[in-house]
Amino acid sequence: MDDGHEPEPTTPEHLAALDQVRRDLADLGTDAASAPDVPASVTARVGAALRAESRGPAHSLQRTPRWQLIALVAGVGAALVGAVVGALMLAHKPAPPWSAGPTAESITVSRPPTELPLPTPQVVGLLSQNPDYGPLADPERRASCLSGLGYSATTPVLGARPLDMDGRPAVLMLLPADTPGKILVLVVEQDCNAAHTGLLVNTLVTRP
Amino acid sequence: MGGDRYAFEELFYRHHRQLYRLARISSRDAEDAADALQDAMLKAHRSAPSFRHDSAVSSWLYRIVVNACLDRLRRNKTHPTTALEDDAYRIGDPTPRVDTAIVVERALMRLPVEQRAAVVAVDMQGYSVVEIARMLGIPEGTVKSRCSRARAKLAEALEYLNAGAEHIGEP
Repeated sequence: MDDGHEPEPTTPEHLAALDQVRRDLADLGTDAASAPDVPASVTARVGAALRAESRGPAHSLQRTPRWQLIALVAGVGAALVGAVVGALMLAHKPAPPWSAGPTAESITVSRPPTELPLPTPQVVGLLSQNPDYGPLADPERRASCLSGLGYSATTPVLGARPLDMDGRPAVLMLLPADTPGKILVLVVEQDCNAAHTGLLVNTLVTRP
Repeated sequence: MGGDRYAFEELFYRHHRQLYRLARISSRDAEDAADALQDAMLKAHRSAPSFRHDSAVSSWLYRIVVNACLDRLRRNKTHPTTALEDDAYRIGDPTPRVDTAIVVERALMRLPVEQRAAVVAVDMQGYSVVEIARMLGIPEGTVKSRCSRARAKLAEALEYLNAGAEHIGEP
C-alpha cells in the first residue's frame, strides 16, 4: 500500500498530465471564489467559539458531544471533590495538609502569559550571544516551529536559549518585532512544530 | 488584529469558505473538518498578536487549518481509510457552469483521506515531504507514495491521461 515504491511515469504525456494536476491543485489552493458554501452550523459554531475566546478563557466552547460528556463528568467529579473537601475542612479546624488543588484559571485555556521567565537584561543579553536552540537546533524543526507561529522559515532569530518553564523544557527565541525599538520574545515547548507550537510566552521587550 | 475583539471573527468570515474547503478536503469526515477548523481558528486567534505581516493573512490561516487537520489525522491513525461517498459533500453550485476548480475538488474528494491530505499539504500549501512525514509521524516514502497515487488518480479522473493511464495508477 504505502510502501513508497511507486512506478515512476516515464512518458512525456504522463509527466505532462501529472504537472497539470499539480497546477490544478495549486490553483485550487488560491481560488477562494470557487469554494463552496460552508454549512451554517459550522460557521455559527466557529464564530461562537471565537466570541467565547474573546470574552475570556473560562467560557466553554461548543464542541462535540464527547467533549460535553467529558466536561459533564469533570464537573460532577469536581462538585463531589468540593463536597468532600468542604466536609473535611468543617470536621478538622486546622488547614488540611494537601494543596488547594487546581484553580479555575489553571484548568481553563488561557492566552500565553507575558511574564518573562528570565530577567529582562538576561533576555536582551542573548542578542550578543550565539543562539542556542537546544531541542530546536535542527533547522527544519525550527522552520516548522516558526511556520506554526506564523513566521516564514527565513525569519532571522536574533537570539535563543533553552530553559525550563514551570518544570517544562522550553526554548526562548528572540525575533524582530514590528514595533521599532522592541524585540519579540517567544517561549515555546521543546517539541514546537507547525502543527503544535506550544507557545508559552509571547511578549515584547525594549532593545537596549 | 489581535487587539480588536471583532477583527478576528471578521477575518474568519472573510476567508471561511476557503478555510472550510481546505479542512474538508484534509479531514476524514465533516465532523472532523468542523473540529479541525474550530481548533485552527482558536489557535490562530491566540497567536494573532505575534503574526508578522510578511506573509498574507490568508496563507497563514490556510496553513494553520491544514496543520490542524494533519494533527488530527496523526492522532486518529487507526481509523479505517474511506473514500468519500458521492453525496457526502456538496461541492460548488449545480449550474451548467462547472469550472475546473469544482471538477478538481470533486475528484479530490473521491480519494482516501490520507492521499487527499498529503497532496493538499504538498501541492496546494507547499509543505515539504519531510515536514509532512514529521507532522503525520510516517516515513517520507509513505508521503511520497500517497502524493504519487493521489496525482495519478486525479490525472485519470480528470482525463489528462491517454490510454496508457493504467500504468501510473495503483500497483
